[in-house]
Amino acid sequence: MKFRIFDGQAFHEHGTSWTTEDGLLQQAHTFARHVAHHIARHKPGIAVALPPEKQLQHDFSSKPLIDPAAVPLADKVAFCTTTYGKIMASGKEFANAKVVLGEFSEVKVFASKHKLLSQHITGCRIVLMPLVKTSDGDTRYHYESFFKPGYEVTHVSDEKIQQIAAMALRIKDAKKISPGTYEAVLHPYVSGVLAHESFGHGMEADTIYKERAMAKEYLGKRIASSSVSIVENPAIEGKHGGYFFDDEGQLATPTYLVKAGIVGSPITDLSSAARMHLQRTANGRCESFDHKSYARMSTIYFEAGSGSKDAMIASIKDGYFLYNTGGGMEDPKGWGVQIQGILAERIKNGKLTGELFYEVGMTGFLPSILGSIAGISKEFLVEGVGSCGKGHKEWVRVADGGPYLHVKQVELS
Amino acid sequence: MTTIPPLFYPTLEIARSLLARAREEKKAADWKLAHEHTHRWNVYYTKGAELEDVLQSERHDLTATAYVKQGKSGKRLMGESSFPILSNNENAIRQQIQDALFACTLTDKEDFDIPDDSFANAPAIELADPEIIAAASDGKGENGVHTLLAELGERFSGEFKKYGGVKLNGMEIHASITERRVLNSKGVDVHQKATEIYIETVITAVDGKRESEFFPAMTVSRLSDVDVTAFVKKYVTFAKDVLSSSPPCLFTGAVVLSEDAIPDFFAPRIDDAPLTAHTFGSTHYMGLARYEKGKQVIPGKVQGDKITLVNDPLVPLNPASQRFDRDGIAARRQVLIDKGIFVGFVASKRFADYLKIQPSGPLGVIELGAGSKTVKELYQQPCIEIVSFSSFVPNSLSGDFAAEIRLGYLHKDGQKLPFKGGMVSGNVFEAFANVYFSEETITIPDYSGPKAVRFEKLTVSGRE
Repeated sequence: MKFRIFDGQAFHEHGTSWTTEDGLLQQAHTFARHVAHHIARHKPGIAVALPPEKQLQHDFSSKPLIDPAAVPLADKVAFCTTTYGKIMASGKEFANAKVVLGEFSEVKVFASKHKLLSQHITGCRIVLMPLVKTSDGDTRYHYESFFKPGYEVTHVSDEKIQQIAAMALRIKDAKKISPGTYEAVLHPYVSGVLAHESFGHGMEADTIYKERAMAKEYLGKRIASSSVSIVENPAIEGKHGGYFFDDEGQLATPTYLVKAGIVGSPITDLSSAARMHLQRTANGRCESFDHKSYARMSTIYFEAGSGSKDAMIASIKDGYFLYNTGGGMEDPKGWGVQIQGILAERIKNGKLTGELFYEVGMTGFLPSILGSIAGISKEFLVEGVGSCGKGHKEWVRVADGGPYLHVKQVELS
Repeated sequence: MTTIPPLFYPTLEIARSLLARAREEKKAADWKLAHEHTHRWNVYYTKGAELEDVLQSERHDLTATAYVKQGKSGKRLMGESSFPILSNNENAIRQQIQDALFACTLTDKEDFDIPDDSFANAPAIELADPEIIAAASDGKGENGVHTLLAELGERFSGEFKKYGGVKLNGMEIHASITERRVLNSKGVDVHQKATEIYIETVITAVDGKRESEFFPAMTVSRLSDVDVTAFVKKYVTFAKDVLSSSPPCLFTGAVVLSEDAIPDFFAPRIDDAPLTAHTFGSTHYMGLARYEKGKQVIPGKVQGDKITLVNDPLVPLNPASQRFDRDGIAARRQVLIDKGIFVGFVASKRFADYLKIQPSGPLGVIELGAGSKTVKELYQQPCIEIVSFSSFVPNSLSGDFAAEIRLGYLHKDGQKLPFKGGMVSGNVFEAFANVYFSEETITIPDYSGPKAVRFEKLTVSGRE
């Protein structure tokens, strides 16, 4: 439970794991007394007006195809054991494997002068991670994760499991890449991280307000060709980053961060929207009741285009196909790109060669990379689970993905 | 401190009583309760040192674990199931225990024993700042700690104003008191109280229309350990150096880590450091470790200094220190790697039983042995110095890394030229085949050891 008071300049928040009515009332009175004490003792700062709100009352709920609560625990354990067995049986080279099945049931109630909202969000995720030993004793792995609102997430085909296992075996012999600038095709797993880490963080309004983001210089200006659009969308159904309203009671709707190549509106929390006189978007999120809300992403992706993955690969004489990443880090002020843990495959004369490169890093200047996007596929994938921090803290669940991107120049090392 | 009756202490007793009954009735072999009680006070400043948010919170996290010994196919196995206790409703807790006991029958870990009280003689190290504790409980109520933090915020704000060409565009100051208790059915009952202060600042350096930023953070246990003057001086210099930096050129050769890059490399915040991860009992049990006890951790011929790595959770008033691990095993200082030879495991009781070794207790401050050269000698030119990574997240198993450089310097022809960007890439275990550590050492949260480390051959990507 979190109480929140706005004093005309700043927010005051009080979080507690207390859950009885008497205890909450007592805490509310104590909190109000402390806020009054604070206001009386501190000199006034810059007055801030919160944006107006409409009266609203609504209850929301996820719609899992299979309610995870209705599935016996024994079945869940059996799924993990069986899947582990399938991976380990697919090759003697596997040192081990990890199969994770997780589920959450999140109930949030938001009450303010204007709103009374509730949401019940369910989610199930699986992570499949085969581990292999290289000839010189290193341990390497490949992993993929999947997310659905319900237990239907376990409907992963044997073919997919075999693909993941086969990729781990190929990684066993992967090499280190020679640093350089290359032409590349980015899998949706990589294009999603590019959208999230490199672009999305720079469009967080609280970051922009603190003069931490170069995006401020680009608002309303062209950054890419008219075929490029980037959407931040908590309302996209059934994704790991989704919700019906944010932690400040704003109903979820999509926001175009880039529309037809032009940089659009930042995503906001209540404080940054008020201070910058911006449209509220449903991105005021906190890690938990004992953390502050910030402007945060949910599910972000490039919009699909008209190209195809195969045609992109066929068009490249010498380059790389980037499969997957271990994550990235934001640099909103410099708009630098840092994505690490990439698995890459060499493309030669329009064909994938089978030559793999492990733990590749991608760096560069984001506007240059966005400006060198030469193709966007119609194939579109937002899959899996992610966790996003602001800096190195304030973790929230997110998702990303999108189409395959053909990028003329990326720096890989 | 809050005057609210401590809900979770009676709840803990209800859970303890119900778990004990399950054990008496032979439904559970053993049980464990872990309780964490955290008070948090945070202040947030936005642009212009304007107060944006004041937060205070109190949270309890009570987690129970049930253990069931069982036999399957002639093998002795251990079932283990943990669950959070969210209410003081006795019937609800009873049902959770029933569910956990059933879950135990579905898990088939190799058998192990939870620790008894002979493992739990936790050393009395100081972990809590008396100033924070006093402010939280001296009758000033919640505002007591907030007042301390506001005063600290004013000191930072005032110190930044002494410098031209920089702006303080944001600051967060957090303080917390966390009490942890672990007790189990074999007599373990250990407790610790620790404080932590976290400071994060957004520093913007300005020169006409050009701007750059540095975004440093620090964590300490004691308010008096916050050296405002030194912090501001160091990071204002870094912010200004970023402003005057250029992108790097492609470089292969000697790379020196110093300043913030050192703890990021040896005690990274997001994942385990590769050097340490292969000392874990769990890594060995799963067949994923590259180290063998009594053998060199770096294969082949090693030039330069040999690694000595110590786990020390007993450094007083260091946020990485702890009195006991999550099972209640007492903390102890332990050599993990001695002059390049793997000698000690970091292992919980479970993995210690499997490997037939002693449990290590918790991971604490990572202490790296000092080296043979002075800091000055390590900067033999040409070399690249990295003082800060954007984020250093190595692959903890393979040791591969590719990390963007937030600020570095090219030392060449008697000059020290700042650069930002590019990636340093390589493999931790290959890099340690030719490394030198400085004689001079530092002790900071998470890390104690050489002030500078020189790898003789790494690659930094950049313009060709």
